[in-house]
Amino acid sequence: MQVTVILPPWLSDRGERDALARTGAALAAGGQLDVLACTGAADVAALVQRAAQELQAEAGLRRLVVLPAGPEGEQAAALIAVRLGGAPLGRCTHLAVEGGIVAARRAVFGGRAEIELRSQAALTCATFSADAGAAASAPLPPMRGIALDAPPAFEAEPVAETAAFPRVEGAPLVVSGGRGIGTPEGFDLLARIARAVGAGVGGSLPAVDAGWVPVAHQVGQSGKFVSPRLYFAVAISGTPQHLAGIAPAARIVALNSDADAPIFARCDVGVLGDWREILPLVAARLESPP
Amino acid sequence: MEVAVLICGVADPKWPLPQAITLDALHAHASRYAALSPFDEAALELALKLRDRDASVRVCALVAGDDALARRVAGWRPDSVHRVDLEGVPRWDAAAVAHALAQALDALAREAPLVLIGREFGDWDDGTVPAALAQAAGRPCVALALAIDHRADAAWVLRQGSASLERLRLPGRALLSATNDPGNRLRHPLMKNVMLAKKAAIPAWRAEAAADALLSLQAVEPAAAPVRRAACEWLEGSTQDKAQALADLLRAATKA
Repeated sequence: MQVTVILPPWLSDRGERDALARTGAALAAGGQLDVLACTGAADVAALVQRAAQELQAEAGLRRLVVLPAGPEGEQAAALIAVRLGGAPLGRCTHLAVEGGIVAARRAVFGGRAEIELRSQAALTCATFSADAGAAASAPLPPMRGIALDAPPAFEAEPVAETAAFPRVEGAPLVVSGGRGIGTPEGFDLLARIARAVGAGVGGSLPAVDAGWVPVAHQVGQSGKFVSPRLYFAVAISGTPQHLAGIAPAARIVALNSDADAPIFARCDVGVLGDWREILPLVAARLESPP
Repeated sequence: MEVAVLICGVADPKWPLPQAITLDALHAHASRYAALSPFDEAALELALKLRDRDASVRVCALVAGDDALARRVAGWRPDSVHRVDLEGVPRWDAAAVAHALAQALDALAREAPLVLIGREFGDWDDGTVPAALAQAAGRPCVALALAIDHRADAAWVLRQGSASLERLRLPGRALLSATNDPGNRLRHPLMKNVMLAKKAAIPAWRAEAAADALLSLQAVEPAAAPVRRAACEWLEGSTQDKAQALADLLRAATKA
């Protein structure tokens, strides 16, 4: 089994890139490993075109291709797999290579159930969120630089965003709001706190649905997977779908006015209270010198 | 111009999954508590908005669900509704689902230059099916579409890029996966159309069973709850105390 790890240009966090490369090395277990460190345009079509060239079939060789989890990763993995007649697995929570077969687990039904799959395809593509802290001591495998220079697939114009919140990708802290925030102004307060401590701003699916935070900041099963040191969940009930987007190693601090909110059964630190009363005080304290 | 919109439906998350999780139990649960997902709704609303702007647009809805879900979709009065029966297709195999949907598009909406689909296609998908379908159907894929703008020369798609919003000039034929956004929240259907949908004849199209399964399902289980290292530590005291403790926690985390 040859394992190919694709580190796309949009995966900018060094820790996440290294963690995925180490995951590939562990899957290859001393066998054939190819880590493609891609630079250039963050264009899925360009990545797929180049990856398809790199992955031309060799008779009798089975391949596992691993990309980082996330909307672009799942899109690229599916395009590569179907283009080359392989099997896309989706966003896996567990990957293993057992006797030439790829075994995987992934969530279904919005994170409420899990399935175990086995792939016998000559080419299997999966996405995976590597835990940056788990194998940090393992040696970093060699990487092959790939410059993506294909022109964009579509004529594009950038769009100015009205509410520019700090990004969650690679953020050491994430400050996130849910349905209970209730207003866009609540997210302005979260953004103040985030800027004061260098955090990213996240949101649950209902908050995105309500238009309080852009979809690029959605954390959870249908959004981004984040692996910060600390995840501050404000007015988030704690559905499995949302928690599926937070790395198990992240310390969760929850603020909620509902003592029965499921988040309190999953967090490390809990605060029972109304965000409207507490967050302005937190923001003021963080914005003043310590 | 014809616009095809693919709808799958999900098990309404308000209802807990059966305690004994089996494949049959999940299929039965999904059918009993079928609802449109936010992404199905976004795709349908984008198609309806296109028709609002241009009366020549014909919306063809392909519903990969049971008859009740197809009738619910018919309540929004698409110009045609077909039920796509995926019973012989392993739903956990995104490539098999994509190939079946590509067959359905070829059979039922071949001339449609634009295909709309939610960014996740039902309970078994995590965002893989739309791209797999684009590849199987030989159409360029535009993911995470939020809106479609019309200008004199062409249609432009507002989408969420990996770093920021961007607007793409829509090529001749394309598949768009729609994501949830306040701008594409599904309108309420008119009651008269809901009543008409109950009596409508909705044809069914059956996908061929996948020939060679590349993926085999080994197990289906309840999701394991995330493992936490310790019991929850409560921050007590006055509002001022709690705010101070939270600020201290956040500050400390920046220095860790």
